[in-house]
Amino acid sequence: MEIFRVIYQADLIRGYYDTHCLQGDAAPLSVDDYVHVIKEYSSVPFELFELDAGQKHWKAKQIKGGIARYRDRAEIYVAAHLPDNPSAGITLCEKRFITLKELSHLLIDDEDSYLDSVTEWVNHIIYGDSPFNGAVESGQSETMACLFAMELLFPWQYRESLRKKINDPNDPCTSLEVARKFKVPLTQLVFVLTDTIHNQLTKQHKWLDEINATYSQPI
Amino acid sequence: MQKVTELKLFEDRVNELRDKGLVDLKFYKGEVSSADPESFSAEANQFLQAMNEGLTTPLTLGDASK
Repeated sequence: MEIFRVIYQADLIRGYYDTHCLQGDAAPLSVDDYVHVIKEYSSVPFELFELDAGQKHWKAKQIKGGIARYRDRAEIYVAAHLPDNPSAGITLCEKRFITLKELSHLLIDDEDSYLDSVTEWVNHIIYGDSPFNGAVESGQSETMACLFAMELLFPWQYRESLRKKINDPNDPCTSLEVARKFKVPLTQLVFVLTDTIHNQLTKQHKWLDEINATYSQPI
Repeated sequence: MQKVTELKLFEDRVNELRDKGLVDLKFYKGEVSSADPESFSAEANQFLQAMNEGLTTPLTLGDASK
């Protein structure tokens, strides 16, 4: 899966959000509004469900969400946020992130990303990419889905300046503070602001800006 | 007789869902460092059970939305 495609799709959804959602870009951005936008944009009808992490059948020790995609529809499942029993559920920030991360599969996956070998896929989830366990397309789509969700929740235009503030030893701004402001999981925020990921995304956004500039020229 | 492992059970359940039109299934594992294919598969099987038995409610974001 190409990362540019992920950035391009996220940019389209951001465009719809900016145009149609009254709240605008004020952080934190509305997941409800994003769900409505994706419902309009996606060709696959979907339903969102919450799995009660307090149920004896499922305690969400490892799995926090999922998507079951059928030929004609999809079902998104997200673990419950249980303020009275935080150790059993997920945080509000995780809930926001996982909802969009699972939905993103409807927009960025193609048939190559679909689950093929269950054993291979499980091994990828547990051990990740390694010389002993090569990259599988369905596993790559997980990383791309995380990047997509963060493009929506922590839009690109904020990142460069906030990254500088976080890295400035004289500035009291911290990653945790920014994660709280945008209501995103801290680990995901730190991930997208690492040099490697940020530099890669900068390159992709530069290409996207060039393409947008070219196509916005009058003929 | 070969022992039926959680991973094999998971594979069988996914194949049953494929017969019902499933084309893709993905889970988000989050930041869990201590896990192995068997324990992951065991939880995946519980997940599918909860899914199939309707142990769900419509997702509401409420305060989580903004």
